[in-house]
Amino acid sequence: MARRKDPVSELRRGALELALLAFLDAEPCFGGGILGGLAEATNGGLELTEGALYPALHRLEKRGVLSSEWREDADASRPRKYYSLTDAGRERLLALTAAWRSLSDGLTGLLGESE
Amino acid sequence: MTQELVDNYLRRLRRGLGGCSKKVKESVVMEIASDIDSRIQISAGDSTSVILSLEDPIDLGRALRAVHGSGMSTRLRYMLVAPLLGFASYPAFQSVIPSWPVNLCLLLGTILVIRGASLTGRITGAIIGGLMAAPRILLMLGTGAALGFIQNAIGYEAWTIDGGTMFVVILTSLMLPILGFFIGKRVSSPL
Repeated sequence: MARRKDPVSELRRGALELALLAFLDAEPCFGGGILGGLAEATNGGLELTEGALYPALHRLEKRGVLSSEWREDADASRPRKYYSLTDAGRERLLALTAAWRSLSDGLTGLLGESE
Repeated sequence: MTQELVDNYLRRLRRGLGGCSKKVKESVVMEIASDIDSRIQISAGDSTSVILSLEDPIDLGRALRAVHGSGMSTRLRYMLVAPLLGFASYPAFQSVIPSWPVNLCLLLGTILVIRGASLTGRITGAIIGGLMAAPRILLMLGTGAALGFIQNAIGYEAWTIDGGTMFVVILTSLMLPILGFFIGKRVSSPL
């Protein structure tokens, strides 16, 4: 029997790429920082698990949307892998933001009418 | 205790990444280890709660393996062993050497196809199965043709391959790439 997916998880999954690009557009960050930072920036609306975050980061890096570098931070005992947007990533962020706004406006109107 | 918990988590993560290249494994483990350290630091050294809050390491490793795919050395290893086991599982060897472990070789080959497909994915799984099937089918067809030639040339009919045996060998062989394809299912991952 096929396992039914939680619709809220599916919605979050759809918004994950845009959220990651928008978050990393502000400043480069490492995985653990992105997990906490995204949850905080979205008021808990986008609390990710490691199983969603790291594969997404690695996939975006493979696509050339993100780049990464190892940095030695003074407050850390090991080097951290920092992700940042590439030029292609910034273009993708603009395209996704426009698409998201258009979708969001349309849905807001629709949901407003149905209430 | 702290280091033991972290090491155990990373060991299981490495297991989930089974089949990936060494470079990918080391990079992923280093990244997760450094992020775990950061979280332990933030939580004032409470490593137990940090480790318990993390995703299952095997699932995480598998999701990352779906992104990076299997390493070339892993694929080559399976692709090299599969034809050898296919060759060794050819039933006619048992007619010449009665103690030849044909069924054991077939079983080991099937396990190899299943394991290889689960680590390397559908396409490589089908190729591994095909590489095991090919020598069995070629040997069966070759032996059939050679025995037919001997019968026609010198009339020697003591050695024959009946149609049923040929059918079973070809059928079981054709099942191997199909098995590899279906076992090597996709791992769902974000984006």
